[in-house]
Amino acid sequence: MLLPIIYKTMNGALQELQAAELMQFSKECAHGLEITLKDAAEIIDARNRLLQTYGRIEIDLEVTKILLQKLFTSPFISREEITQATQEILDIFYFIKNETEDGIGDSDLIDRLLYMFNGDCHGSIELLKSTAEALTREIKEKNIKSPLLQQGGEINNEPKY
Amino acid sequence: MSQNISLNVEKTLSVPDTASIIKEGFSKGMIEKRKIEDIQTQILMILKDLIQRYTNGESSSVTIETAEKLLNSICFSIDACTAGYIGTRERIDLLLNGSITELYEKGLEIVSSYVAETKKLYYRIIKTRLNVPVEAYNLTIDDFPIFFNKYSIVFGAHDAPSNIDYPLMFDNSHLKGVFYMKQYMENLLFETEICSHFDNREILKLLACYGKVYSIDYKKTLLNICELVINNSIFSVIAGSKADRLTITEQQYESISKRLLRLNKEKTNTLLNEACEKMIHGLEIEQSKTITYIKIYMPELASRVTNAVKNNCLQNLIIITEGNQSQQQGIIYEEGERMSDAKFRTLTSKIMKCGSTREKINLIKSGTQSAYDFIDILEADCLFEDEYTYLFASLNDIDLAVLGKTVFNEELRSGIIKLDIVISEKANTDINWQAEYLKFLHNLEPTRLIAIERFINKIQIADESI
Repeated sequence: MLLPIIYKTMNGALQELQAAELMQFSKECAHGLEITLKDAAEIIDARNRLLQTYGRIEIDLEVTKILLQKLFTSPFISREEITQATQEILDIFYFIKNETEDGIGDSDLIDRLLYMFNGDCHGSIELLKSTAEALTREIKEKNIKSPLLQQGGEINNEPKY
Repeated sequence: MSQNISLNVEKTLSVPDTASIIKEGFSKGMIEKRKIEDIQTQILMILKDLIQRYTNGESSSVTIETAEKLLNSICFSIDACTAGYIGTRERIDLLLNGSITELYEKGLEIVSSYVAETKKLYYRIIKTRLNVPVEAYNLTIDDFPIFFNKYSIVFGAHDAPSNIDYPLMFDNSHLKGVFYMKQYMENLLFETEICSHFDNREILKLLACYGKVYSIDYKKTLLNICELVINNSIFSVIAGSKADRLTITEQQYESISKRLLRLNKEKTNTLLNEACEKMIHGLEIEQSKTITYIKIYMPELASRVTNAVKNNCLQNLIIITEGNQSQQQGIIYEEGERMSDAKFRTLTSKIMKCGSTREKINLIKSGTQSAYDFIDILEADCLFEDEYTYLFASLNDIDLAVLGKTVFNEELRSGIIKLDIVISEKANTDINWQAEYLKFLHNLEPTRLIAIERFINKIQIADESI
């Protein structure tokens, strides 16, 4: 009932602001590889569509920013490939978040994905996709053995006010 | 400030929520679109913060379901704050001129103060609770701590985690979160206070008689104790007894019944209202809120009395507790101990798996000590057509009469029954075992049928709580 408010707000003027914010961020940390406003808008647009597809809500851009920052340092990514790679890795990221029922934190998951991408996958998105299911299984098994953060499918830290 | 608002909130619990106020304000041109976007952005920022806190800083995204839950919680707190201001204009001014975050935080304080007040009500309830073996009543009170343990003001203020089964005379189920729990506990306290003016043994006796009238196990039934108590107290006053008596004799019932039959709707209302005043005075109820609570119920009682007179079923409303002829002269059937739900499930499962009719009948007869359990087994549809016949054929006249008490329950409320007549009247029942029972009786020898009829008319199932 209230979600249309969120979507409307996120897809309106906020989307332009987010694109500008992402471009500015890339300037600050890209070491000459910064993305254009058009690229940033494309990433934001893809990220918002992915969130809708996976039924998730994310207000800030932290995940996209961290991923972009890490990709800038990857030896396998060129300036031309970075926009597309960000979108595709975000797709894998949200897939795993959902499949593991948020069984892994954002930073940990990005680290794991980039470690595999720069390691065994040798910069291949296709290979990374093919390992996503194995990673999902591994996270799920680990959480069954020692439930990390789970209760009701979410990390639960409900304070009694 | 939160204290003042909190008091106002109680009066305005049913006011429209903030989202509706914004919508109304926008349609009337009182709020600009830009301001609405500003309010939405502020709510999003609160949501962003809550997502971080909810995930312990581990995740910046959550599922839609979680986001909706958090958003509902935010809106509930904002509503708790703005609902204290009566009038659309006043509430819109508050939204336009104030910071949404501030309203939200004040709302959290209000909700928090409500939790504290609700906790005090809970302590009063456990101190004053009635000593009655009504399961729904006791389990509801026993499970109140679930609310205090699970309720989250920040992440789920709009929820009311609880196991509330006991039906109250008045219960506003449109309320959410702690507002719902507070009104439930307040109303439960009003009802407890009213009941506390009566002798507990009389309440127990009334409940047992109520169970008999409806042929139910009152302990396991979702009934409202206070309503039964008020009804019988008012009828007791009409019959000329004291207000604190719940006893209605058969003679008193006849006299009340004759009196009500002569009255039109208006005069019935007057009689009940006068009796209500006498009851309140007689019981020395002084709390104005408790008095109001009783008086709000009176139109409902008046309507029930009018309908009962019209449908000739006053005996369902006025519970006779003394001097029932059939009780005095009847045969007492000792009701055995009931089995637990787990045992019941095991037994029905065994019966269903069993391939032999004889074994099934043995299982039923050896496994049940109570007529209620026996009937529950029949209701569980564990048997097939012929198997019912074999089972009924294995029962003696008294056992069959006990089953007949259930089958002909409605007819028995009007007095003695003639079996050959009621069997044909009930022939179209859609309850499987009852249809088979009627078929079985229909095929019995007339002399045996007369014997069973005699038992049905005289037998009383003994209830330990009387």
